[in-house]
Amino acid sequence: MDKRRKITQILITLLYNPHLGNILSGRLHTGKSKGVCVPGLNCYSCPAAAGSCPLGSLQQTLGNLKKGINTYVIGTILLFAAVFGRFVCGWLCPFGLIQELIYKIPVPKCMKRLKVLGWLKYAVLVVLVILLPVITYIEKGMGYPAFCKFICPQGTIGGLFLIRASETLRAQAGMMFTVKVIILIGIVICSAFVFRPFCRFICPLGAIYGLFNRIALVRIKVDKGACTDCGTCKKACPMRLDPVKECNHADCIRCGKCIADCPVKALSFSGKEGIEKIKKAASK
Amino acid sequence: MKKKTVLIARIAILLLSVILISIGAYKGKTKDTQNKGSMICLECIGLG
Repeated sequence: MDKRRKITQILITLLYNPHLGNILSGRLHTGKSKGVCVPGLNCYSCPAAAGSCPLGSLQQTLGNLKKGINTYVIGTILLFAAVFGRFVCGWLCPFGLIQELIYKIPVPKCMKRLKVLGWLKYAVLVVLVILLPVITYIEKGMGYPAFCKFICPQGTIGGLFLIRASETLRAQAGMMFTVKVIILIGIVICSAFVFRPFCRFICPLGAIYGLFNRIALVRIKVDKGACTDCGTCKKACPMRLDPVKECNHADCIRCGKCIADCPVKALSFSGKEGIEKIKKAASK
Repeated sequence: MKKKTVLIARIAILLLSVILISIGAYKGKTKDTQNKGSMICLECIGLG
């Protein structure tokens, strides 16, 4: 399962970012695929990116309400949330892959759940993704994407590529860019000690998908009759959840480690079953 | 949550998302998204 997930994550990263030649030239891809939002966090200002970031696009529409709300972006996020939930985080997000690779560095690991910090991502979602773009739009007539501007480490990676390739952009890099690079370095360092710190405590896209985890089509199913309460799944869960008691919790990224480790196969993905139910309901 | 409630909520959100995407596509919002994604977003990369 884990090998299959790693291969998927690598393929998805390449699928989101196929224009690798642009990294050297510092140009952006401008084709029609930029009109499509990808499910995971992937900055559209990264030279290699083929699609648009759903979170960046959401902030752009909230910060420019005179053009009317972009229902296409909101609908796309809702669609990904209803179908996948946080399966996107576990399998379809390049920044999740980066953090997991860093976590492989052999240093002492923090095994605590840090539940209180988990609420931070909801505050980031409300304040930086929704409120600040709208408030700055009301005040100045043009809002800015506050999460991208102040935090997003994925955008900083794209920025580093662009700055390396363009002297003009290099000249513009000031205090804000330095702060963003420090945040990126902080997340990278934390990722060695804590499993996916950005996804668990900061990512507002993960917060949105997490809200839909309980109803998403792709989710984890527990066969309580088969479960022996051995606790193996709880030990296996990298997000420090108890998959039996907290099945489909908002922090579950559907990595499938609990499914793979369960000795009695009491846990499984229920995507196929969900599709059949929808087909039945639609035919009635 | 009961299974039926989950199923109803899922179908409702799927339908809503399809409707929102269709309205957006009809109003040319995919072009807006493409235009925004085709230009360097200085805020996004930490320069704006």
